[in-house]
Amino acid sequence: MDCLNCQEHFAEMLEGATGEATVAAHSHLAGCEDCRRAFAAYQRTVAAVRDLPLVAPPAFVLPGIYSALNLLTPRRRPFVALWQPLTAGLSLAACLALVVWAVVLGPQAQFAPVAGPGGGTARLGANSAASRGEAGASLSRPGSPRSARLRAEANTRRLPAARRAGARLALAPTVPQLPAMGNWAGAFEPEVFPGARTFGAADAVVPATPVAPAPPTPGPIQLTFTPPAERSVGVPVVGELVIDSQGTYDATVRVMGQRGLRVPNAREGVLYSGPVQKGKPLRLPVKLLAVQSGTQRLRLVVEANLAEARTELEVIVPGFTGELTNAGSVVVTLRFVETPLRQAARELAAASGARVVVHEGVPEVHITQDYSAGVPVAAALRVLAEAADSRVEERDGVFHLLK
Amino acid sequence: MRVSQETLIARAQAGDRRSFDQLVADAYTLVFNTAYRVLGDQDLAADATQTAFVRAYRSLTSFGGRSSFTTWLYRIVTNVCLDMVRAQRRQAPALTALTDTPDDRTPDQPDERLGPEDRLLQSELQTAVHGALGRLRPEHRMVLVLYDLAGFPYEEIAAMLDLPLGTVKSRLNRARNSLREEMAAYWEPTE
Repeated sequence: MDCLNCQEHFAEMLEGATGEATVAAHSHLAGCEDCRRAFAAYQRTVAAVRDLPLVAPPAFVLPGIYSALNLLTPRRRPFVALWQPLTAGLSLAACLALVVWAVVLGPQAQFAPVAGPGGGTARLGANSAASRGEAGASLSRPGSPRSARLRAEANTRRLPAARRAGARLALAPTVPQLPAMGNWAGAFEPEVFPGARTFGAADAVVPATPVAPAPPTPGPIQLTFTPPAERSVGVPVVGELVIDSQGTYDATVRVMGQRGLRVPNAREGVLYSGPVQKGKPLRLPVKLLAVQSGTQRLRLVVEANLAEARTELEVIVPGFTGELTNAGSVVVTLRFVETPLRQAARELAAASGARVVVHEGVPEVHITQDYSAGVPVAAALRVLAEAADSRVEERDGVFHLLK
Repeated sequence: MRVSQETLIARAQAGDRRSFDQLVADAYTLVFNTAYRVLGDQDLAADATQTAFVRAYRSLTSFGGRSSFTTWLYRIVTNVCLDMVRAQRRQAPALTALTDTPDDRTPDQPDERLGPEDRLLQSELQTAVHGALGRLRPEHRMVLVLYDLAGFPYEEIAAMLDLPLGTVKSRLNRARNSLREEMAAYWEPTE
């Protein structure tokens, strides 16, 4: 492997990968001064990036976001404002036409049948209706624009309740689209339409909102995580998970520290297994050990004996500072019972963040050791090596188990 | 009692603006910081943060839970940031370099354990890193910020950026190596 290839594996080396290529890169590093310098600089660079502080957003950012969101739904109003004069104009024109028709053509049209486009009919006493000022009301018939608008208004009154129930609704096909949409804007509270901004043909059918299923019975589970105030790399700290349930379950709480975060008091990812009772908040300490600086992430999952009660919480814990001065000093709390050596080494590496390479020739003995009281990972690895009649060497922060 | 993110999302999807406001309040600091490290300017970052949340609100009903909400949100954030970087390039290529200095920034957790001299050195180092970030290629910078600063795993970054996993890993390594070379002068005196 040459220097260029070696440098392509720096990220994997930093993460303690144990693949063939990474081991080869480590071997190259051992004999190449330039690459050792480059890798040291690489490690410092990564640490410096991860130590960049969180910046407090300027005070205007949050109010600015809320203001922008407030502007979203009221955008409908200009359309309504445009439409309303148009409907008023059309109504006025219709009235004028009716008056002209009643005065000029009245005698000929008296008692003439009027067939509507929707198939409905109405008999109209034009002279008497006009004289009583009821022409507009008399023209409401199935299929006419006005009756359609009235029906649309009736529909809108039913929509909010139905929408709350997650129903998919469509207007009757005879209802003209535009008046109905104009009325919808006035009939709904703005927050009913998250995300909709403009009117279009697609809006004629109310889009089905993917409403999450109702909380499962006998009751939802709520998770609250309080992160530790002190956040230093390599120093075990304790956060707290509170499980507050509205139901009673048998539950398993799984916790997964992602990337540079370990949870030493979780056994194979399980933090707790047992009852969760309604009205009795369960407080669980969550030990955290960051092996990298910067922002760390944690996923907490509660699996109950009612599948619907499964609850997840993703936690972002920013601001871990510092770096591991000695990877071997990280304390691990593990227990091995007849565990194959390589699996034990993997678990130690995972729990501590230390990079461990088990070389060929190290026999696959089985390990039984109880480290639940806590022991530095370097010491635990020495015990492993002794059990396999092998030795441990630390080179550039990597632990090598060698025959 | 604090309501879980899942509940807030469900309520927001059902039209509850207050729940969406809570989601915004929970996430905006990290979103702003991601945008700031990618764009290098607080005003641009503020614009990007606002645009991202507005886009998220508009398309909230399309969030189906296939990925985590955070991944979905950051997918929007990264798109907004990359759009802004492209726009910057078109208008004035020089602006793609990060422009802010950290002098007026307020770290949320000042390291009280350091003495004045060490704090000064730390501040200088942060300025150097911030400046060097701005000289990285934007697509490399994005991966670096998401992985090393925002703390996302490779798989989620790949999903956010629509990239194969291998590309994410290689971009991260290239970004770090470029940054190392950018900061070589900074490291040399100590060696």
